[in-house]
Amino acid sequence: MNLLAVTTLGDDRPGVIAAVSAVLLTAGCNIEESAMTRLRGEFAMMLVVQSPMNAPDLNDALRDVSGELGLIVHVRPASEGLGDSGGRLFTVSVYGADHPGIVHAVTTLLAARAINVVDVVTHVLDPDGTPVYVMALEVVVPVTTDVDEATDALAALAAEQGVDASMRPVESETL
Amino acid sequence: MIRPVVRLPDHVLKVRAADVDPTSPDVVALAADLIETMRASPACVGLAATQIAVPMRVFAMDLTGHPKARSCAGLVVVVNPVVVAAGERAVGREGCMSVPDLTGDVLRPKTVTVRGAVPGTGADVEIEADALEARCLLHEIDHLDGLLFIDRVQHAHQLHPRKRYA
Repeated sequence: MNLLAVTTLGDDRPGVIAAVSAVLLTAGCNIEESAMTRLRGEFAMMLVVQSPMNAPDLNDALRDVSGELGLIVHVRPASEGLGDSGGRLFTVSVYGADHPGIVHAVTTLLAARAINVVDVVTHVLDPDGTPVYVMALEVVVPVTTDVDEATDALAALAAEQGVDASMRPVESETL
Repeated sequence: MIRPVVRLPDHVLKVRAADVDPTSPDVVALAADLIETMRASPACVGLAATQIAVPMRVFAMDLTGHPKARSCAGLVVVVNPVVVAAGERAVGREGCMSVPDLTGDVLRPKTVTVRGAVPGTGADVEIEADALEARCLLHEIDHLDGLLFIDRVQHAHQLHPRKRYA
C-alpha cells in the first residue's frame, strides 16, 4: 500500500465528497486523516489515504470526477512528517483590526524559533463594517525553545501589529 | 440607561478592570446600567462592565428561566468578584456580545464559588454555581481580567463562526 496525500479544490456544492470518496473506494483506498472544509464558495479536501495505486495512477483515476465537478486535484506520496515527539503543544490566539500581514508576521516569528505550526483557523468578523481578524494556531514548541522568550516576542509583535495575542499550553483532560 | 456594548477590536475589552468601592454612587449607577443593558438583549445572560467600556470590576448576571441553567442565583450584580473555589472542568460552547460572529469551545470548571460585594450596601455576597451559571460567572470574570473566550480555546478548530445560511 502507498500512503498518498490527495487534495481537491473546487466550487462548493452538494456531492463533492461523495463523488471523490466513491472513486477512492473503487480504487481500494482507505481514507485515514482528512480535513475538508468550505472557505467562502470554495470547498477544499485534504486527505491522507492508504492506496493500492501509486500517486500518478490515482491521479488518473480521479480525472473524470475532477472534470465533472470542476475540481483541481493533486495526488502525491504523503510525507510521514516531523512528528511531534519532544515538543510541547501550545495554542496561539491572535485577534484585532484586520489588515494584511498578520499571518506572515506571526508565522515568521514562530518559524524563527523552530516552532512548528500544525493547525490554523482564521476568521474575518465584520459585525459593524469594521473587519476583525481572528486567528487560532496550534503549534509544537521544541523543548529547546525558550517559551518565555517566544511569549514576550509574540506580545511585542502584537503591539507592533495593533492586535492582541496570547500563547498557552494545551491542557489535556482525561475524563 | 442602556449603554452600547463594545465589540472587538475595541481595546477596552483587553484592559484589566480595577477594583472599586461597592458603595460608591458611580458603582450603583453602573450596576443599574448593566442590568438595563443586559435586559435589552434577550439572549444576554451576563454582562461585564468592560463590555460597556467601563474598566471597573463589576458584572451583572441573570439566568432566570434559562433552559440550560441548573443553579440559578437570579439577577445578581457582583462587585470585585473573586473565584474562591472551582471544581472539575468540562468543555462547553460560549458566545459573547462583544464577539458577535464567533463562538468557542472553552474548558472551564463545572462548579464554582465566587465571592464579591453587593453594589450600594457593599455587603458580602457568595454565589455557588454549576453548569451554565458557573460558566457565565467565569466568562464575566474573564472579561474583568481582559480575557475573551478566544484567549481560552485549546484548539484552533474550537472557534466557530456563527453560521448564516439564509
